[in-house]
Amino acid sequence: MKTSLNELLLIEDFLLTNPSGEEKTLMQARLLLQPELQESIYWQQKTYRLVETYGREQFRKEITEVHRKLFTAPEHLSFRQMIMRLFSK
Amino acid sequence: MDAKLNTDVACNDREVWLTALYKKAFPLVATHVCRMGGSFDDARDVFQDALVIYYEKSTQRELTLKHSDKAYVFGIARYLWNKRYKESTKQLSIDQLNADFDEEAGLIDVAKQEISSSRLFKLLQTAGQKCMELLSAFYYEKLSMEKVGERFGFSGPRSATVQKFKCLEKIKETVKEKSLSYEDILE
Repeated sequence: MKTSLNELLLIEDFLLTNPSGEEKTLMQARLLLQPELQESIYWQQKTYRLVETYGREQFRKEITEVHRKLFTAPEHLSFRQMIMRLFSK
Repeated sequence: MDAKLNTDVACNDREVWLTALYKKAFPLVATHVCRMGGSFDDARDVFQDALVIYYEKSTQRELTLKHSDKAYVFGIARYLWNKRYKESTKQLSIDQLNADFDEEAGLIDVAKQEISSSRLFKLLQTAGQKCMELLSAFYYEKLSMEKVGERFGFSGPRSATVQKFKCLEKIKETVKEKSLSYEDILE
């Protein structure tokens, strides 16, 4: 069964903002009435972690590409030589 | 003060920002690592990890920037170097180092599992790429919905928000279905 938009929003607010004591109590009450919500929270949290990991990997690829350019492109020769001199001593 | 990271930067601007920061901060890190007996590869590795940590802290608004970005990146890299190469003989993951850094800096520690090698993650990188890019722009880069809308060609922030939730729903369903069938989400 697909997750409703309201449920996605409810869980997002609960997981990604700092819920107040009152909001936590409300969520506990919801979980008592709707135990399957616990599982939905679990999968949404996993989804956020996967998205963060994806974002981090994309950022790492960008960093690697910048490094490659800095250490191969002719316009960055003086920068490259300055760094390499450090490690040639 | 040096130009600080604007978390709403577009992709091309991020490359410009990264290149400028690399040129400013990497010589400091390389000098330090070299003096401490490390190699060029050691310097590159700690510097790139420091860039990731600095970027994530900046987007999460966990840093109140009082100094230049160069100084922050150098400080983080020096910490990582000491932690990784002086105090420990084993290689620690960036999540562990990030958690240790948070502990030292009094920042919030969010434990994360290493999941990038799972079959599910590889599936999402290919089959769900478009949604993952959109969700990453919002949840990882912390772009505003206006900027997300501009980047992905939506008519406005409202349309971008609707698409974001559609993607969240789709990816969540995939995560659930495939995790239950692969049972390797945390492998």
